[in-house]
Amino acid sequence: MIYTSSSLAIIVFLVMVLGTVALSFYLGSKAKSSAGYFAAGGEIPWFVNGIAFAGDYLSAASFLGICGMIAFYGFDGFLYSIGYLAGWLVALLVIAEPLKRLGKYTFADALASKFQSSGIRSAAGLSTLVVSLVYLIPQMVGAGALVKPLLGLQYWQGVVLVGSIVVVIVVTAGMVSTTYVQFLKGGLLVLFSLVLTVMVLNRGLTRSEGEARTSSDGPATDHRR
Amino acid sequence: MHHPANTTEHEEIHVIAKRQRIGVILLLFFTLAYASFIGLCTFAYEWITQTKIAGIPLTVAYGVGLILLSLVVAMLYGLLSRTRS
Repeated sequence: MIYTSSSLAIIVFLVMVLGTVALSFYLGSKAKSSAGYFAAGGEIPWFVNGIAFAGDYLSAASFLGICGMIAFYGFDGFLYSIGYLAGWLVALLVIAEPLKRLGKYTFADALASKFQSSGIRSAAGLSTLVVSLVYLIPQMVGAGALVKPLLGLQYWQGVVLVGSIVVVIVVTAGMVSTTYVQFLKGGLLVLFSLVLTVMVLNRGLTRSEGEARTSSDGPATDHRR
Repeated sequence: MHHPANTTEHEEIHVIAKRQRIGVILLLFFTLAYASFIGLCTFAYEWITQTKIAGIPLTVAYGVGLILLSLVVAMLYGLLSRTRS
């Protein structure tokens, strides 16, 4: 498919990138300790943290991936969206509080301090790398696929561009900038998803004959009441 | 002899243990609901996709119900942890 880049899209993209990188450098200059870098000094307001969590979950892989899977596979795609919530509850109910109480910054550190075992530390480190790699690949695929129509760049250029920006943001200020960037992203996604939902629902809950015929979801099922 | 510091420490350990128990119980409860959903989708696919509740397919109702249940469980954990601390 051939895409043409839009100057408005490029301007919005550049404003967002420059804004977040500037914010990242500003916050990075304020982080003076390990606690500041890895845990934002424990000073992130709960509301910001909550929206940042939502932003984390509404990533390219989950948000776009789940929408795409539901569009292509219907209910079978919907099943995956519930798995994210189940995983989040495990983190909330059995991991978050003990981790905070131990005063460690990563799950591997907490396990190592509790069990004093180099084998456990190695296993935790290895699984972190494997999970990060498996998680990062769909994120980067999503980034490359998004940048392609948005900026008119090649797929690989999109992957390199977005990957570099993410590395700069995370390395410069750690958890502070990561949380605020996720907060911005989460807030924008929630807001515009709401706008999109209202616009879609405004069209009503029925499909026209033409839409039903062109639907890829098998035969034109009539859901009208 | 009674030591206030030791009593406070003991109470804190007691509260932490209770919180952990609440977390595990709530997690088991949600896991049961989630596993039932996945089990039905795997072994009773025809039944769960064709059954309707108030015109809504059971699959969608159960799935959205699980999403809402996770929010309820999270709020319940916050509430119970606060009142027990």
